[in-house]
Amino acid sequence: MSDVATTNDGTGHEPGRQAVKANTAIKRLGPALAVFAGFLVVWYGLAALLGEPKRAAILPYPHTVLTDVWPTTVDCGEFLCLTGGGPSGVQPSQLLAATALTLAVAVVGLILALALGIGCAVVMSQYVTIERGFYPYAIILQAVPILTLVPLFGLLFGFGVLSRIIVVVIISIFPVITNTLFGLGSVDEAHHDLFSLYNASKWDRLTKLQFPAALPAMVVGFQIASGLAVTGAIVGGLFFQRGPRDLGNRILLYSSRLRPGEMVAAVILSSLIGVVFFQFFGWVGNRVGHHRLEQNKP
Amino acid sequence: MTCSLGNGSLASQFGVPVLVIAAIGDVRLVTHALPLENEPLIRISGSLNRINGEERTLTHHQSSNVDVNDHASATIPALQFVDVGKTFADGTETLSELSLSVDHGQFVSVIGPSGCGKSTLLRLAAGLDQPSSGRCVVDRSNLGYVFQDPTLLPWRTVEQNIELVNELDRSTSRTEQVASGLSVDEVVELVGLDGFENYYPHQLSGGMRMRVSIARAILPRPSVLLFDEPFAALDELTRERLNEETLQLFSDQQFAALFVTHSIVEAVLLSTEVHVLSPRPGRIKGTISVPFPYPREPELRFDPEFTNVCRQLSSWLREPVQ
Repeated sequence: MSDVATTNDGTGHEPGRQAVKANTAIKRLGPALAVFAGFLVVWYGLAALLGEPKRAAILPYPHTVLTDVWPTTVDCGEFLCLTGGGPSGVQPSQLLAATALTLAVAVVGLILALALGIGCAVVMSQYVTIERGFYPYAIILQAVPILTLVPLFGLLFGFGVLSRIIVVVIISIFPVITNTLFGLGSVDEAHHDLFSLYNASKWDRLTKLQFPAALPAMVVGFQIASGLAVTGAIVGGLFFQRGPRDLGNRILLYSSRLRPGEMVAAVILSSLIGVVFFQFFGWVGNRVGHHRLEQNKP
Repeated sequence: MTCSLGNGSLASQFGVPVLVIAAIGDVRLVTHALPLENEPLIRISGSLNRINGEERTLTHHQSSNVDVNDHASATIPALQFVDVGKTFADGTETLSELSLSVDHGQFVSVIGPSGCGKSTLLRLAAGLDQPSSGRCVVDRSNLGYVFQDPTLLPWRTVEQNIELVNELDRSTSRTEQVASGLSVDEVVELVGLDGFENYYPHQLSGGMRMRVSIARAILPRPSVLLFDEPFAALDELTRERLNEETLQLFSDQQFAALFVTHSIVEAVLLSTEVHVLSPRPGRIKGTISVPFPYPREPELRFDPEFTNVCRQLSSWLREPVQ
């Protein structure tokens, strides 16, 4: 953005440009870094105020989250072990394994939610009767607090990975359906006329007009769904203490064992998954969105 | 079944209108009211249930059923509205008993106040809407439509937008037309878009986008081309240039055009014939044949005769509603 300004300086010398670039980078990222530094200061302050016995049990110093957990990574390869072996307690490799499991559940669940959601929306968009039959329930289900259903899934499908994936699908499918349906229906009337004029088949209309037109709205739906998918994967773990260890149930475990360092590490890892998902769909959104920056208005 | 009698021969012998009525019952009827002088031919096709003097009961026929053979196409209009009325579901009557025809090689413009049903006329011709009464006769298998907006697909390049026409219609008649139509390169050159094939619509100016839209419409070499105020949203300069290019296209390509516009000058410059519509419900208030031969130069706008034609049209447009 400010590249143009720098080339207009006339000098065009490499060192000068580098300096200006660095300068603008500081201007852009500086405030965010300052806020982060402030956050760390407050954290250190609170931990210091708590004093030693409480600090270990409730809120450790930020750096101990890393030092406590990280160095012992290599030791334990056992996925399901409850009792941490090393001196620093629960093994970080368990944390990584838990993260991998949560990530897998979220990814598989999200892919299923996208596939099913898009499928439902397409069917509803093509057959009005089906839309009239199902759409009201899709809306009502959205209002049901899905979390209350999670224990039920446990009873129905067991406490394993399957239930967790189902939780992810159920929790993240609605924004996919509603946004896809909205996108497919928001095609310009004039474009529909154009397709009618040339006797376009239903399939051509769907694939060459409705889908491309709906993509930006769909990606927004995917972005919302991806955030929900991570939440779903964690929540599934929180509810299902039995079964494989993922981040959700690790967090509860660490909490009950007064291991705040590992707990915070688990929270950070789950946030990372969320950030990666969100960024990914943000990137996808930019890719599909850029042709639509301006519509056909002359 | 189609019966066709006395096509032109009687008229040439007697020089008077002849009404030929053929067939009874379910047999398809073709009546030709043959013209005096330059009056357009009227062709009515329908199914006759009763013949009773002047009363003809005609049922609507899908216009694409109308067979246009070579012999007939010389005399049958490319596009014809017969007593067309259109009342929308909300009760708005936009068109009322409107009849007009566009012969092959004719460029007919329709001007009128906003909301008088000009666009509706084109939608009826293209089959995007059905008339509430009367009929619209046209061979829809080869019809081009230049919409009010360029209606380009923003995710397709110029080239891909033009090619869309060939991708959509896979019927056999269309496949033949693809063969007989122009190539994308040819139309791109015709509308002056060389070098812009790989641009996206949002990278083009309004005038350029309209050119793409025109290129797309003429790709299959349509026999009838409908224009719905295509240049209304453009600046005056671009509009004049596109007017000239449309004239050029009309001279080069053989099509019959029905052109809807607000601009009197544009209508007169382009057309062989201009109809003025009354305010809603639209009917024809007046018709002028524009006497200038083609090819026309843009300087024609400053011709006194040209101004006279414009003045006449303008006075019709201004006339208060009775």
